[in-house]
Amino acid sequence: MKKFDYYQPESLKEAYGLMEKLNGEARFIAGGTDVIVRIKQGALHPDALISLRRISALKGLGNEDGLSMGSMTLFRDIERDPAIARDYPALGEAASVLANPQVRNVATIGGNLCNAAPSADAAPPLMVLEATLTIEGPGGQREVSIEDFFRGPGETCLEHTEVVTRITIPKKRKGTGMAFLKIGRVAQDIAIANAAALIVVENGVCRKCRLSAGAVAPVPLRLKRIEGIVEGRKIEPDLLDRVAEMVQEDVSPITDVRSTAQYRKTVSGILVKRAIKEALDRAG
Amino acid sequence: MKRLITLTINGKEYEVAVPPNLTLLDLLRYELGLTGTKKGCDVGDCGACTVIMDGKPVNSCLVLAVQADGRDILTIEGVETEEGLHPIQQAFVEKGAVQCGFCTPGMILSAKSLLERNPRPTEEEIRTALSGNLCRCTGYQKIVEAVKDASEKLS
Amino acid sequence: MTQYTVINKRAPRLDAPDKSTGRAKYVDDMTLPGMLFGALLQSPLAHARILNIDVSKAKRLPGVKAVVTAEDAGLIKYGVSPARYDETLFCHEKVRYVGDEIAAVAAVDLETALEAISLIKVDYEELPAVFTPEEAMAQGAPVIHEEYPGNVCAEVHQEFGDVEAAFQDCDLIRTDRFVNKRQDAAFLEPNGCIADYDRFGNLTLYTSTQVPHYVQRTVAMVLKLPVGRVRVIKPYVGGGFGPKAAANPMELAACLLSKKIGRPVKMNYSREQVFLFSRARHQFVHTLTTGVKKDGTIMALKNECYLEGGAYASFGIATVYYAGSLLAAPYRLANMKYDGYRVYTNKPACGAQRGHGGVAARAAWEQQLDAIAEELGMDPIEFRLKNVMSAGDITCNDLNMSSFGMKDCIEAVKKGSGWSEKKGKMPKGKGIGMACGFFVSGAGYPIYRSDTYHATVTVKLSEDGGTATVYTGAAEIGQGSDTTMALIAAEALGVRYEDVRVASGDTEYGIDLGAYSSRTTLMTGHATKEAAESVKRQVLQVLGDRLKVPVDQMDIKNGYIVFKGETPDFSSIRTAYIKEHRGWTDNPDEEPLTFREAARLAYLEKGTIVGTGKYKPGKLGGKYKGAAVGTSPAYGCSAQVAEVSVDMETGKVSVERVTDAHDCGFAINRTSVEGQMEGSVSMGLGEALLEEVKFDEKGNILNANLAEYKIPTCLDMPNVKSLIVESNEPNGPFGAKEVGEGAIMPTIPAILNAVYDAIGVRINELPLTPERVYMAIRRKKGKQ
Repeated sequence: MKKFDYYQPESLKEAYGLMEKLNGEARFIAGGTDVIVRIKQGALHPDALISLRRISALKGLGNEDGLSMGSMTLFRDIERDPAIARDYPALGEAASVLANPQVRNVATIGGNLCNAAPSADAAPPLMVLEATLTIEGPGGQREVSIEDFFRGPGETCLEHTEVVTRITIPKKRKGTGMAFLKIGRVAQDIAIANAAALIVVENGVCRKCRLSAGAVAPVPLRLKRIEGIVEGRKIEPDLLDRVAEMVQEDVSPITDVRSTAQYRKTVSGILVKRAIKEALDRAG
Repeated sequence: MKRLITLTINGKEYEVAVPPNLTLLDLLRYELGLTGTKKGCDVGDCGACTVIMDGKPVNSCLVLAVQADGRDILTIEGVETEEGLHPIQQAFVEKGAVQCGFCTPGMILSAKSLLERNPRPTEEEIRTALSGNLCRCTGYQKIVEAVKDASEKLS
Repeated sequence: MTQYTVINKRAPRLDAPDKSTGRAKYVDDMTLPGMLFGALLQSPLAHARILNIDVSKAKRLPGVKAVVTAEDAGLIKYGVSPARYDETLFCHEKVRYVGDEIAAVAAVDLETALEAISLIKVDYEELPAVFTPEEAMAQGAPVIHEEYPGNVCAEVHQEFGDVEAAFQDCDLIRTDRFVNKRQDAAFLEPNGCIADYDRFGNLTLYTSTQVPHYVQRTVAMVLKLPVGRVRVIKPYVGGGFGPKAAANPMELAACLLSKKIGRPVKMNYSREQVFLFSRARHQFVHTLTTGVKKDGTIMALKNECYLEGGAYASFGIATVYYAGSLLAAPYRLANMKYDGYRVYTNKPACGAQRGHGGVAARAAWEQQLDAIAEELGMDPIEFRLKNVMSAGDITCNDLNMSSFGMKDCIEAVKKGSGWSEKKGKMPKGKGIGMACGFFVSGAGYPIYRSDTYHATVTVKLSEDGGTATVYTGAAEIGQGSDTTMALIAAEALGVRYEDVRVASGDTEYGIDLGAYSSRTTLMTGHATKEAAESVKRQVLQVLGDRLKVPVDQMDIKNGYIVFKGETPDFSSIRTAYIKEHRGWTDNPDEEPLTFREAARLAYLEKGTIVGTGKYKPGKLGGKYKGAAVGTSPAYGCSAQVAEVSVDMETGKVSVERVTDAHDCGFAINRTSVEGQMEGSVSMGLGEALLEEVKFDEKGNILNANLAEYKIPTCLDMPNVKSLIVESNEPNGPFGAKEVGEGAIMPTIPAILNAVYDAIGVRINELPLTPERVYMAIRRKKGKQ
């Protein structure tokens, strides 16, 4: 593995200072399960790593007026949190099928998002939950909707010196159901495609619909056109089949070693359809 | 530049100077001679390098030694008890869960971590807990049986 | 039936305690004093002329001890089969695939060695490359080896009986084309080695190999050393499955470097290099035409096969023969024609992998037979039972089924799976399928033509008579051969399992051809049994002389001497033994005469008691060209039933249950037999559903890691109901024969047949990815 330096700042301020001093040749590292692999494979060549692990401001998981997660929250903790399982099951489900148990014990939600893989399992549930990311840097703090966070494969709206500090999710409304689904080659795999749905139903009619599909575009997608069509309607088999078809129109996947683009399109539609169905069952 | 780190491995405290690009796996294997932790892929895909860090199984090839500073590490060498084999190890021996043995240390550590937090797991829970440990020899069946057997004996 | 005291039970493995505590040493766990670290320079291009190699910068790097290229290695050709020695240690003139070895470096540490590798400058002239058999065999295609214009590495043309004439008598003739994918064996331990050349001109190579003997010979030949100066020691090995069944360039490079420097040199393949070295399953394209009678009698088979072989021959000649010969059973088949072509391409060389040469052929044929049964309106099991061979049958290509529990296996899985209650009664998306297969118990001939013994074993008693040690060159690679030999020796000698030690995997301990072709239990087993029986005879002879009891009136069981007649007075032996072991706490007391006492007596009389055993197969059938591939002293066979669930919308296949029956002749260790069966099913399931080494258009592997090359995880494997069938093989030690490879044969076609049962459409290409299955379902919908 390439040589690099390593820093463990105790505060965000210290972290920004280091990053500025190192002139952008450094990289922040959260759990490191992705960064270390990429350094080993020669895809990243940082002169230094700045670990965020000792910064207490990035920790903590709270569920009072909505869910608030420090960016250094481990997938393991999300997977096992009873409040998340109860109120935000789509997020818990995504966390429970990410990579493998050993990785989930080290990998963080912030790291997964900042890595910005189109297939990131954390993204679709956070998209349908309309999460907000708190971003901090030497210039101060700002809040970004998760929808605006991703810019392309491996690219986000973060400046080099900025860090995602918190992820917040609004309080769950009554009558909300949600689900996350993914298809991989083996039981625990990088997604060929993944999807999440959130549905609010009143008197059998869908009042709110949020849909997201991953691994089918340069960034995790919100499927707003389709959401608009579902909202205000009764969710019936015909509508779901139409949704599956519309998803195929709205995604633009690539062919890679895991799947062809064509299959990703098809299966993305099926996953969204099934996620709506499952969300609907849970909304009841 | 080397960093001085302090960590506890199998109950013993170590103070070692490590370069930042040294993984915990390489520290264990090549610097400290704890070769029971295996290197099968070096990028977190196979689980042969699994150790327990602060109570949780992790791939030691994806942990930098500097990240392990201040942590408590259990490797396969620390599982055996004074009375001999740990019940999980005993079950692996008796149930035929060991073939080439290269995945075995990692499997045993994943199993140990599972049984500590969930003493009577279902088969599905066992399979999920072991899903980050690849085995090419056994088809996993006798490994799952061994973990079941150990769970019965331990609880 | 003979009553055995040790074998045919469930013995814990000898090596399991060490392996489960981290004490077992694999080669990368070893360190020798003064050890250096080596690294390889491998070609970045699939096909290119080497114009110049400049190692000067690398040599100047501080910490570098040696840099070697073809200039240092010489151009001695080696390979697997002497008929196709087509490799040299390093490329000279040309590189033939991405990964071809050009140079090696030894340095004080791995980091320095790798840096030195990056400083070697090679000038290439890129040549057009070919990546498929079609491209390679096309008119005017670039030639990969000058000696093989047309790029055909090996071809086979065989006909037994008269296929065309038999087709005339058939009521139904069906042709199908079937394709599998190139695989990686994905053993968990990457290949590694330490070469140690000493001041006296002795070379010791510690290596992760299946075949210490073949590696010893290849190293001696390439490095021009006497065989007696080369010792190969195999520490514990983390799986092999085929690709570790021959010397690799890294082993040779480490030896060359150590010889040059005079210090030990350690080298390891990274996981990516394991993929680059490859030598695993070929891609086979089979076109099979089978003719049957209305009543289901199989009349004739025509098999045409193209193998994508990669840049070197490796095991390829054997592979291309096996792809034909391994269809001659388990069904009675009087007429069989085979045309096989193994073709060079600019990809890593393919070699042998579990079920060598026969797995794709078996998958293709068993699926076709299922289709034929359906066309005939017969149940697939009834159809197979109608044609199945039994013990004593000889195939059209002269394979002698000296024992053959095929029918028992079929009936066992039929009953064990509840076939009759399920077949035809499962809902859409669920399916059940079955298949059969067979495999050799050791190749009848060594890989180099020779009259050599296939195994020689020594059993030696400790001077106190208490412990017997088995010395064998056999390679414990995880399959459990050490344990098997201990059990066989204990049974044959009449002592307890725990009183036997095994020293193995070292060329100093005897000849052993190694762990491949499912040979060890039968072949090394025979030699071990013979050695142990010799020891027993020697001990009983001395004892008989002393007690005036004829040898045939005595036996040894469970560590005690058994007198068939009246027990003679042995008190003087006991008194002497106890006297010699004053202070010992475990001296024999009121019990019958122990083996220990008798063995001590024998030692005092004759010196160290040593028994030797040897084995080579007797004359095996077949005089035709290629008869050496497929002939074996015995054949194992198996049947499996797979039950699957297919997601009709996404095409995702889950294998929910497998029922597996295998005829292993006689189970020496029942736990190990099941372990081989379960492991075979998991490798077969991976091949059926997941595995494919993929390349880009320049010949680079796209998935040279275990993240993108998927093998089954714990969550992907169903439980296997393993049913052991015992047919008592006359040519096997205690009636034992193979289980390690035959057990994989039915897995893929059983899954294929089950998927057909679930979705109603046949898929003739592996792996059954969700996409491929989805497309098949869609094609079917389109037709309706």
